Amino acid sequence: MEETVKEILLRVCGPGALAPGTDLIETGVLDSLAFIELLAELEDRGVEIQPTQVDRNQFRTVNGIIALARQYQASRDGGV
Amino acid sequence: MFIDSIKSNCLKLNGKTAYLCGQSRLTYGELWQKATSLAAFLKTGGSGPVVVYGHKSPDMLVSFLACLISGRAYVPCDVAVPAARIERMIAATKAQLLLATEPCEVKNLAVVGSGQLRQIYAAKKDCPIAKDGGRTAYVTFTSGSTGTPKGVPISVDNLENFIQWVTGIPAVAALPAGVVFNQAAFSFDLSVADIYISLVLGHTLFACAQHEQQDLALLFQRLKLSGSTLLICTPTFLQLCLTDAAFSRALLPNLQVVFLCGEVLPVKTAKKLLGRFSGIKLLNAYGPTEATCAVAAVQITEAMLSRPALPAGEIRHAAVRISVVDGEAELPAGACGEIVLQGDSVSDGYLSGPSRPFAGHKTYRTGDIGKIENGYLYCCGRIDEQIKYKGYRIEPMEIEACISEINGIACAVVLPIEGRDNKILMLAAFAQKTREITAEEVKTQLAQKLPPYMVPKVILFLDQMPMNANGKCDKNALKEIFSSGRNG
Repeated sequence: MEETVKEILLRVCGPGALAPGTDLIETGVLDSLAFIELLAELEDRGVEIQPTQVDRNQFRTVNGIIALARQYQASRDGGV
Repeated sequence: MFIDSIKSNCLKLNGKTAYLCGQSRLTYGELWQKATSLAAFLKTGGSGPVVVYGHKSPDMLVSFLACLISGRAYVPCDVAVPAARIERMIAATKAQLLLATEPCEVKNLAVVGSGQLRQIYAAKKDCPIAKDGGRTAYVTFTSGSTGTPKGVPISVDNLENFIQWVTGIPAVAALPAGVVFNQAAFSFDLSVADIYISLVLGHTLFACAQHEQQDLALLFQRLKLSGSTLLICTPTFLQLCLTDAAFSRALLPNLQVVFLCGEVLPVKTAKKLLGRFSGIKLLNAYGPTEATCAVAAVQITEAMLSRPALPAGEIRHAAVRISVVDGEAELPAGACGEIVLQGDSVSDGYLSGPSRPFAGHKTYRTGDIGKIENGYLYCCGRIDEQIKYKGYRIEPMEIEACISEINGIACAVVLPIEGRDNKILMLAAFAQKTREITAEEVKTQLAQKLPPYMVPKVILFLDQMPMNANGKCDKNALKEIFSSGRNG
């Protein structure tokens, strides 16, 4: 999942996506267009994150997004 | 005339809320009283267009109406527009007055701040409604390929034709008194639809500020609180809402109509909306700024969802005559060509600069490629380099010109980078530099001249621009350079 998320972020946010220490929201790297695209890409892979159900701060970092994707993947695979 | 309809609504609906944004509220009675007082001030205090600066304060709506009553044109200007660009707008419109509903840095012309606005309202003056329908109602700006934004004056008669058309769309006309949700900034002419539908039909306009749109949880709170019956937004905004399953009937139980304009509506987005909201009427609309907000709309049906592309309007019920041409020859149904609009919604032409797209009286060649099939209009692209990004029309050459003006940059090429469904995800600039300069410095300098949506998200420096066999910049090669950078 980690590689998948990184690959998607690079594609939807541009080359700056994986720079260490970047706040993806503050810097506008993850703007609304990239956000829509990220969620659509994850949805295609069966991971349906509901953005209003999670802490927005999770989307500030690459690791936060990876954790979210794992969490939703686990809840899906667990049949919850 | 529509201003008379607004007046009669204001007097009749008096205590009803006309406008809401955050904690601010304005009744119909207050709107008319403040607008006439300000109109009286505008009428005695000079002539010419008035820049109305701010975001979504009720004073913005009051100022627009005051300008219409007084006979002076308004030039809406959002807080996101940098000072240097506002100055160009002022120069282009020859405006000598700016109403600052929010603190404003711009100088070199008379500025009336919010404190002074309060005093003007308190004077409780009356002002007769100006009569001349040929006068300019408002001026909005669209990107110009020469590096200068183009001012598009819309007359009161243009606006009248638009309002008659839009309020006559059966789904809109059938709405009971309710709430219209505004997404667009007032300098974006999509907002013309929500402002005038709301005021002319006596609804409440619920405006959503930019900061409320950046946090989805906050946006959903606002949507729920609004109790909206009509949502007017760009397809991108709708897509953003649809990312969360909570955007459903439970959130907006009264929502009856969604009016979309400004961008191509992907089939998937329409399908998702119709699936979530039983009984909803989804209107997909089309129209350039030069022909007053929108000129055609179509209600998207289930049957249309199985086709590869959605129609953008119904020809028979359009606000103007729509045809598809190749050069001067009108094409038959089904053939692709340039979309041409002819009728009372079409502006008389740009404030300055080329009159080329205005081909004779009330005729505008859009530069959009489209076709007419079974009475529906389909959009298929552009005849030039112009792009649609975040609902705004952008000439990449305007951005390129601004980058090239920066000390240390030899030349630049700006390209749209596409994602799913050919939707533009971001703008990327490829530049050659003549001294040490960072991408961040370039962006900072651009942000002083261009609105945020025109500042490229990515700036890449190249030693040399790739050329094709004709000696022109090889844009495909640039896209390859970009994706190799994206993939690591």
